[in-house]
Amino acid sequence: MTGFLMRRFAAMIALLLVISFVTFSLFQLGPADPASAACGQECTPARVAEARVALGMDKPFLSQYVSYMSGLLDSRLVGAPGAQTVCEWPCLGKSFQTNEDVTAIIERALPYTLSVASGAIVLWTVVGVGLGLLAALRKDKFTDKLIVGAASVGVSLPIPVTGLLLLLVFVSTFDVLPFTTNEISSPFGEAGPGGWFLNYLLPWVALAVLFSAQYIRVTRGNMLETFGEDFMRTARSKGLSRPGIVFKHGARAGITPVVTMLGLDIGLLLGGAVLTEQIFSVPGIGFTAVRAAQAGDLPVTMAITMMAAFFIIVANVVVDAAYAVIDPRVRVS
Amino acid sequence: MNRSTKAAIAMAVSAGLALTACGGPKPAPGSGSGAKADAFKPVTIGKGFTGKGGNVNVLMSTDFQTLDPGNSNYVQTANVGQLYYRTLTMAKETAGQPPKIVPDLATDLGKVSKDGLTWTYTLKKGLKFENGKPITSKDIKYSVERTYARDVYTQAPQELNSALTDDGYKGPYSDGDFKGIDTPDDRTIVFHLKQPFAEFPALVSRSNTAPVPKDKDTKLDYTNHPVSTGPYKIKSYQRGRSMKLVRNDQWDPKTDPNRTALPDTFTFSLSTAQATISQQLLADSDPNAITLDSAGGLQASDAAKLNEPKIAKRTAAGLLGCTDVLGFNTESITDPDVRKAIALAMDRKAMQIQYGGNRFGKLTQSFINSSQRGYVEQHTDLDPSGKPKLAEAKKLLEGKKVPKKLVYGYADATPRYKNIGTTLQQNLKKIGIDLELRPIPAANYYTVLASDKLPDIARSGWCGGADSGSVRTTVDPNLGPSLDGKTYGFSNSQRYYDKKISGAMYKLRGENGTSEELGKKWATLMDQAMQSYPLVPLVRSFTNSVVGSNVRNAQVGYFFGSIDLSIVGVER
Repeated sequence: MTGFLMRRFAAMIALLLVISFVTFSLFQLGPADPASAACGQECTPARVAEARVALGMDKPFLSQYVSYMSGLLDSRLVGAPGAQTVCEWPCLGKSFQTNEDVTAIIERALPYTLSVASGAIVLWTVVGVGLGLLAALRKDKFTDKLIVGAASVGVSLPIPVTGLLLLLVFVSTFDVLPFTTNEISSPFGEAGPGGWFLNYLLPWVALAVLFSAQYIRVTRGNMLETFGEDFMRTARSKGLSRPGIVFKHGARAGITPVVTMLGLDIGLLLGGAVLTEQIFSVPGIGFTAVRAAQAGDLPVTMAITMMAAFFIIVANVVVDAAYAVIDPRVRVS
Repeated sequence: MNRSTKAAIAMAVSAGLALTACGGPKPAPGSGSGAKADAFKPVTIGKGFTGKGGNVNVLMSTDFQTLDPGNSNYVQTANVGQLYYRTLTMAKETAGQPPKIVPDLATDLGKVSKDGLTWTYTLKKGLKFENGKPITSKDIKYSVERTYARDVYTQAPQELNSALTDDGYKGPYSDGDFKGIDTPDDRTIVFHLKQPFAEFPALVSRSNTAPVPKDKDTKLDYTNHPVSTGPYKIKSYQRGRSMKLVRNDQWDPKTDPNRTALPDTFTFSLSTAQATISQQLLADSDPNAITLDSAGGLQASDAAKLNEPKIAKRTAAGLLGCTDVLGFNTESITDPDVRKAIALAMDRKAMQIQYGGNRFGKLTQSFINSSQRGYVEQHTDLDPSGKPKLAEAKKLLEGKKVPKKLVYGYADATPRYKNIGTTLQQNLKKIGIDLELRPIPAANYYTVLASDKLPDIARSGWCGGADSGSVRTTVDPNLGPSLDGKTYGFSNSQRYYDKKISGAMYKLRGENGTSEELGKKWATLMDQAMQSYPLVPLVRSFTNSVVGSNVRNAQVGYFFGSIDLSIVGVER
């Protein structure tokens, strides 16, 4: 296992290097020029050249890239010659828009995204896997049809529709939940776990409606397939109890594809739930990413891209490791 | 949450759903272009209120890009800046009218030499920074000097700098003493100009002249805590989250008749989504709340709600100095008759609806407006109600070499600009011209217009320039010639250059006289230039800003486009 993790870690570093290089290159080659974006409507060529110096984009491409990456190892100086400021380690640069440390921007946005992601993941996993299992056990009965039908509706509803409907029903019509506020970013703040729970419940439900639907379908399909396997018949013929057959033998084997999905979805969500964050005004990573991309803010976009990639890669490694724990057949191979 | 909160959110959500379903905004009832003239009358909420104390809560969808007066070209920073920095003169807002230039740190609007090349200002007595240190003329000079460091401050305002001598100066960090300004004593500051500039008092109202103490200049980090010279100072500032301003006890109200400084504090919430802001304001969920977001944070779908009496009595409104036009590339569409025909074929009324109708903009016949100094009547054959004149357009094109295909470029981040293109596409089809819609990255939009990729037709906007009350600072940048007068100017994205008219504009730049006298000449030249249709005026912005029920003295600034923070107060 240690060797496996080491190899994956090395691959992760290599992949992050590639992703960082590609993102950095795209900014250089893309149609948007941050320097001319920085100086507004009367941006003469001389002014653009000066802005390029201010943003550190006057140097050769590779030198810019190396300088940027060196901030991951040590603090570095940023800004125009004569007016440089220290960017402390880990330096992800300073925002082209606000000159704020990108690390500070990420630190500010991440708790919001973690708040949205954590509850949503728990909710959709419990609901999705639970209902998927129930549907498989009640195959072709009314409960199964009801669950599968609901899943089909859920998977067809985009977040903007679900999100706005939830706001309409629970916030405005029945007044049972508050409007989402950015004052609350963790369960340990002034509002406490209760305030945090209520603040993020609607984004969680919006995400869970979409994601649970997929989990219901995948869990149900895999469980039905597993129920038909020889080892399940053997378990039944040995006279094992029904819960023992379903949970110890069936679920353990049938759940592996769900673990893969879950791992990747977690990775994806930690990189920012763009639409959900926009609709519920949550200033998380997705919200920040959209603004940075629109404004041509290279350092912020770079940092978020790399962070999202990091989460997805880590999620993959965790999924692979979890496979080995859940399914003994993987361990043998 | 009270009943009105619920109702407003319900409506906003329903409107949102309707938009999702239909894929585009629809005009609200009564939002057509046939509104009465008084539909654009300025409205101030709680005018004349003098009660002190309380807190104003400012809701914003984004943090300020900067709070450094030397690195800001942003109206939001200029508006909040009135609270923590003062300038030699000040552009004092009155809803619906261009700001009036009044003395601020200086005793008067400046004394100009006979040749118009030297302006002298004297500082008032008793002026201090928030740390109690006196403000001197050297502080002002240093503040102007740092705005020359354009390789440090990408947004440093340049209108004042480009009028002064010694324009090769590189700023105090890499260059020596600046020769364009003298400070013979601690209270006197003398500016040396390259050529006369009647609007100079407006140039020194720009934030270049907001004093920055040299020993506190942390360069790009100065934005984190600018040293106050105004009625408030920054108590706390969490980037991207919130800011709190409290009273600055070193500010002497006797030196400052322009700022009423009524509330004890201002709090800024810096990352609330725009949809949330409009819902909260419409619902009055915080009676002390206002917003600095553009268009009052409102969406086109909110227009109908503004007619409800409960909301109408909390809605400040006013016309801004910002006008949108469709400019022709006069180098690619060279025939004035063809440009005129295209202009006449346009359904400007349909385009106005893309802006949200009358609630968001007034259909206009000119880039300049009658409230500007020196305005003279402008003439075009465009229908005042915005309807197309197809028959006239077709007649004009008879026997002409008409382009079969044209390109309309638009900033890709704003759906409205694409929708204007779609309307234009339909209009031009009727006169036999195909129109290609070409997206341009929004962040680089104006740089593309200034490059060889300028499309045949493109939208552009202008908010009055360095002195929004002056005709010159609109006409010259948008239709004027280059610095040497030999071709079109840099931001003249029509590439308009007529030997006679542009030559007269070039000559006019160096003329001495009052802003009013010279303004008349600029406006006359503008009218002459418009006879060859280098551009088509569309819409002048009209902003409604809903405020909380306790907010008083709430006026929409002509220049700021949002609630003027220098006079706002709250009923306690």
